[in-house]
Amino acid sequence: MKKVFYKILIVSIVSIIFIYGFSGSYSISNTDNISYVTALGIDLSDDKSSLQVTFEFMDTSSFFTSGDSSNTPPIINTIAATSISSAINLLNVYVEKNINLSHCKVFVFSQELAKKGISSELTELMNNPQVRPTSNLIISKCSAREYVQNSTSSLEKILTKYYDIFPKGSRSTGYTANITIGNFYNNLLTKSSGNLAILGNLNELYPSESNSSQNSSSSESSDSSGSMMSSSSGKNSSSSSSEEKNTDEDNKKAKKKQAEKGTISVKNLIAGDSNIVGDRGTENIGLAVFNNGKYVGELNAMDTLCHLLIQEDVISFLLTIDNPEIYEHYIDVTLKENISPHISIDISNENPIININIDLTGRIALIKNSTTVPEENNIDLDKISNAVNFSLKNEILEYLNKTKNTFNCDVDNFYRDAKRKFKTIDEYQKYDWINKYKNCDFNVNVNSLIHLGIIDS
Amino acid sequence: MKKFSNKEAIFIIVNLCSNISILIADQIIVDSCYSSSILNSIFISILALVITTIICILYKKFVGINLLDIAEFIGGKFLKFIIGIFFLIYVMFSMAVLLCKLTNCLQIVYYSMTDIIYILLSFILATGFICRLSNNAFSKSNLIVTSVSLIAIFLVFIANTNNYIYNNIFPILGNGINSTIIDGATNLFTFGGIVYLYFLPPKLNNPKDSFKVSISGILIFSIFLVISVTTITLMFNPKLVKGQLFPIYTSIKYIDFGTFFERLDSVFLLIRVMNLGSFLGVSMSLCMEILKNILSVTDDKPLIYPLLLLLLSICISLEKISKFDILENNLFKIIFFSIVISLGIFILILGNIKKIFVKNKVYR
Repeated sequence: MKKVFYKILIVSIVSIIFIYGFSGSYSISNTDNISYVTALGIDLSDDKSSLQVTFEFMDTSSFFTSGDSSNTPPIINTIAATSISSAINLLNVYVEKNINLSHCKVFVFSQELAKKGISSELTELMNNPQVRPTSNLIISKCSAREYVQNSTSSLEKILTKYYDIFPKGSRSTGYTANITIGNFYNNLLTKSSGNLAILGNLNELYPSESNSSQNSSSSESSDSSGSMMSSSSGKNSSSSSSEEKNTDEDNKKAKKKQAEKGTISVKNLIAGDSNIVGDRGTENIGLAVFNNGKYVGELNAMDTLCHLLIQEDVISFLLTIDNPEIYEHYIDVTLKENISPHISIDISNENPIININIDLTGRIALIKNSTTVPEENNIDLDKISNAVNFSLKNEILEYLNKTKNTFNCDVDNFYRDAKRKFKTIDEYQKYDWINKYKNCDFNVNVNSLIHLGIIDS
Repeated sequence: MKKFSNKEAIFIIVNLCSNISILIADQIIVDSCYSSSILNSIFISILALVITTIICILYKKFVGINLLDIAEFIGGKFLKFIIGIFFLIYVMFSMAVLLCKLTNCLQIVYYSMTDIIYILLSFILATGFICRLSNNAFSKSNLIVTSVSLIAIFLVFIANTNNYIYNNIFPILGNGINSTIIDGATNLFTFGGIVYLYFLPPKLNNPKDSFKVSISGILIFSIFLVISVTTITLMFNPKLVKGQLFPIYTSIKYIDFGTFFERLDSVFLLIRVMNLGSFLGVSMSLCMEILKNILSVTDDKPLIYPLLLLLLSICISLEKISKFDILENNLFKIIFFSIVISLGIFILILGNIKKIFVKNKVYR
């Protein structure tokens, strides 16, 4: 009897000790006490010495009331602080909940901050065990706050799902890439290569963009004395008739602007410069280029496609040839890579020679001239194939020379293939790939096999 | 005393090695050898197999007895006591270092507001509970837990295929032959489970199988080691491998099976917790056996309390050292090579020499 009593006593004491010991962690990990950030925007503050951190939250209260979160605008808070951690700290006090980044899908840095360098901010984020390395990294040409405010789409109303899906679509267009913070940081530690991030911007033709930016700027100016701002999304819809009139006018203006812009070549297409009029306030087209953790330039949609082709990171893409010098008709060809691109590097000469072989297969999506669609019998597939090869080869060479001459960095990670040629790290470091890359020569070879479209007409 | 089946014994060796590998050694191997980490892990696996074979050959003349009995045969009770204390130090130190590593990781990830002592206490009490149960309760649970752990590591290897940068294995010799082979040989401490080979024969149902069991255990772990080191080498820049969290855990965060399976790292950490619990149970029972042998007591159950207290004190002391990583890196290697490899084999060689001169003596 005594033994049982002692056992119960010991178990009770141990339980009480553990309840006491772990209650602190439980209370802060309890879902009632946590606010999950869905997107984090980081800007340089007005005085250029500190950061302005924007937190975007889902309004989860709608889950409990109606069970539908789709139409609820996100909650956005902005804080001026010296670092991301101190911003989180400040926000913890403000919202009186613990800010948790484990569901943060997107990290947005403004271009202005990226030019100064984002290595320390990224290290800070990677040091946070809540941050998922699979979250996307976006460099916004507008302020990160504006980007986050406008980053919603009526096609996918659940914000977290929307952030999940949008970078993955890039594999079928090739106009941007799915770049994660983990891979970016991994590359950042490698001094031999450049680095890339998704390039984002406000959609210039977004009908209520002018309104939203005006709203945001006015709220910013009114709050500039304080260190914290709070608002709901820039897309916060209002039902007043005067605003409806404004929206109609905005739509008309947007369409007029679109007509003025006309069609934009892929070579000139970049985030913020597209001619898309739609319900989404932001767009991600192209990539931001980093050298040593600092923003050094951007890749347009065509450059991005070339990069993804070399990296074998695009499933299929559309190539348009609208140059009579290359082919007499306008053609749209849907292409995909047959096999992985073969990359070999010759380091036997003073300057390295990078050989790239790309093997493609594709179907004609559209072929026409200004007046008539050519008959099937008149279509010379070999000629089209040559045109595709010539066009793509030129584009890839132009892109590679841009990385070499303008950005001075190896954004395609050719150094990984170059390392094969060395037995030890010491030998590789003595070769000095970073400087050798600036003088390297490229040999690009594109082979494409073109088929007719599905309908033979 | 209940004895182990061959399978149980194999998985005990695998468990002892795999915990050292995942929590500490993988990080050290990749950090020291860079791109030649896979080569180094293959090399130390071969080295471990050679050492295991040597130990088993030296044990051939001592069927069914452990190293302490051999030490007693060589130098009497005094030598047995000294050797026992040395091995006790190694086992307690390895338990403390691994426990500190995992509790630190748990504190960072989940229990930021909980004092580390409570997390340590939960493991230590669980270990005490396991050891209070019947003799081979831990060996049977270990069989399941270690199998699950091996499968998990294999799945991590497969699931991360999309994230691999295959050129990370180049330059093939990493920092050079010296760093990969000569300095790299010190990474043999990953095979800490070798310590159990000295105490295994009397515990086996059939002591004659000890060679088969030892080689199988080391071979299974070698495959496991190469897989885990390959995962880390192909995924990360070596500079990213350094840190508080063990790299295999970090690699799981990169696994993406769409939006359905998103938090695989939590599952992995749970498996790791169970695996470490099993490791502590096996190691603590080994400590109890050593202490029972050198103190010549009949009941080893009361010995568990001072051992648990000692473990807690070592852990608390280690927690107070800020340069904990340097300690684990260097001290672990020094203790392993001086006690497990040098002292263990030296005693076996002496035992064999003495056996030649004293042919008719029977040891049991």
